[in-house]
Amino acid sequence: VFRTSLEFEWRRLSVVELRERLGAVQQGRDEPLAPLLECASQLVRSAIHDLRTPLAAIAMAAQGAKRRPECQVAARGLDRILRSCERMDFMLKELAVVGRLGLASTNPEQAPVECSRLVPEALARLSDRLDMRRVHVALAEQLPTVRVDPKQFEHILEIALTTVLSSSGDDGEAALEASAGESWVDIAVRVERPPAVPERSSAGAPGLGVGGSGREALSSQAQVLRLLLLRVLVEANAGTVCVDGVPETPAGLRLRLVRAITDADQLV
Amino acid sequence: VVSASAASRPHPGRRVLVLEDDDDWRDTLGEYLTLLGCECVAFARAEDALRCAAEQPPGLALIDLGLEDTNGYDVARRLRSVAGCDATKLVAVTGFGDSATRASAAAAGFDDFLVKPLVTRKLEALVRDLRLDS
Repeated sequence: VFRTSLEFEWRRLSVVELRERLGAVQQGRDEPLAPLLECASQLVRSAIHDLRTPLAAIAMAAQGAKRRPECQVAARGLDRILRSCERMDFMLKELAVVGRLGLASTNPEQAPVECSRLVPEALARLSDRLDMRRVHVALAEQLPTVRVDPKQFEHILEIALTTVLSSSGDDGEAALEASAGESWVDIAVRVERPPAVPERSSAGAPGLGVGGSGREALSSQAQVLRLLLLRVLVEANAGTVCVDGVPETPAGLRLRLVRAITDADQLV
Repeated sequence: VVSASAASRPHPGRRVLVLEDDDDWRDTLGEYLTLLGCECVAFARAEDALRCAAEQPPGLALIDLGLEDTNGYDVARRLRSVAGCDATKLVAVTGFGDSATRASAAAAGFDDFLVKPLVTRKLEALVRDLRLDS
């Protein structure tokens, strides 16, 4: 029954509802969010896997048919099938990001970690999942020690970069800058170069540029849900998040992490 | 078991083993590999695939990670110990593309990784790289 109700809840979440949830977390009114997110993440992960196998069969069958001379008369129809598969693949990737990130939202294990080591190491691991050629990194020299869960910090960076890269479009770029304050470290992630072609192109554009309302609605939902998860994770590590622009297409995010008190600080 | 048609004349070095428990996906993959000029042997059960590999080692093995009777990681480890399969290119096929799954696949002995659904381009590259002299 619980699984069914979760499934139902996932399907009926709208951007407005997600924004309300975001506000509830901000005001500390949403205690049972973490276990809910974990269950929802597992459900989404299973659903994505089960959808990918039949989609793979459809796409490969269409590719195979295009190679057969007797199917040339149906080539345009096969192209339409393949474009539809690409669109579905895009949506599944969006869901996969959200599903994976929700799993990281519980039980932080905070420790003092040197930020000058933490950020580059997390970025190196993320290069497996994100196109880091689109991210320009500028770190201040001698960043201080912060108190965070290193694994959750990696997820925080992943959400921030995924969110801003999604806002920047398929070809856009993002900038990540880290600087130190008196008792904090600021990490700013922002859209640096907007896409060459507007993302919301007219329907019927080639490839993934097909701008149907389904893709746009899903992308907006995914963006707001990412911000919700980002806030949960950052606040669980005693930090804060500021969003520049509207949540559906943020132009930038500013994360502030608390500097850890070290032995050297205590001596001073 | 899917095999190449006589008309496609697969090169002997292009023997591909597929282990996949989803019938439609297995049949589609087998037919596509045949179109690419491979001799494809496809199985739903790990034991059948291992027996076949021992009799005639493939150049390439595409193994689903989530099988009904076992998992692809164990199959990869067992395939590596089969005589003649040390040079077989082992490729994990999965719907999970996260770094943890990739790391587990590499640790189990897989050489490469295919994330469903859009795999044809990478599959064609893998087939092109198959040794042609075996």
